[in-house]
Amino acid sequence: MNAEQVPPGTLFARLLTDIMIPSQFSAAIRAQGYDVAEVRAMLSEIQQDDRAILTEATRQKRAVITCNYSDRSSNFCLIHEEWRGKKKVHFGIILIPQAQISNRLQRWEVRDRLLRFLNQRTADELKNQLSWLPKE
Amino acid sequence: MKKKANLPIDVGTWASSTGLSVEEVKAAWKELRRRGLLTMKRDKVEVSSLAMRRAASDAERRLSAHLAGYLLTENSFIVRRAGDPAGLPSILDTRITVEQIANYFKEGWGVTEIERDLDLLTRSEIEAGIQYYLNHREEIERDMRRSQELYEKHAPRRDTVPA
Repeated sequence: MNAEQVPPGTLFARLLTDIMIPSQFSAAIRAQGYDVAEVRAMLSEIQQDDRAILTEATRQKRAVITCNYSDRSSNFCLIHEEWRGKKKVHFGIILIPQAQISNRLQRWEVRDRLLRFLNQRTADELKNQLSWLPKE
Repeated sequence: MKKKANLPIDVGTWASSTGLSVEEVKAAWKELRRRGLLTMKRDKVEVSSLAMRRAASDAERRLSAHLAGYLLTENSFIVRRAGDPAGLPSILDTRITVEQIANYFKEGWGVTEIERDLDLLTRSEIEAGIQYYLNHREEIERDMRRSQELYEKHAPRRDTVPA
């Protein structure tokens, strides 16, 4: 982790949480000082399209936090590969398991795992990376 | 000529692909056109992004979803993205899957509580998701297992901190 010589406020990743991530969860990440935008606040054309979400996140220099990795017709693993093939840049994709967010207790463990993950990385280190949230 | 522009459609084909009667298709088409949710560009139908969620009846929802290219299910709120492979069963026009709603439901959450988390959805949409899960338990449980297996397979046990 190279924490030297970056302008203030740009060391850690800016984030965009996808539509299936509860506001309460985004607020908990925000409460730790992260800049978190939510897809739910964006235009419905963006809300309804995985690619539009990654494009908008890239425009705003944000990493996307999403649970969509298993839909065979469109998911962020596929789009990550596609963009890599085209040498298109994004600011990071972090995949978290929805089945754990919809569990009242595990939700807060997921929050803690995510915060630990984010604290260990600069915005630069997430760039163009597809990351799965660690299990512990 | 003018009349043709109003109904340039093969009502019979639409009826059979939506499971509606010809009369229902005609009425839904007329109503969606009147409200500006379906428009014609040359001889192509354009579905407004609001059409599906503003539809006032099953028939309107089924017709607009079909015209927008979704694969329909027996429940007018639940569709799949067309394609090979097709998408997971989802709430019409939202990217929220039945699997995600069912995950909450299985954890014992009630509709009101789910509504607070997935605040994009209406009560009817959440209820439709639950109903679809109950009618297709095997299919949705398979989707759940697949998601879990993917996560188990790819996620590292512990974080490996970059140097």
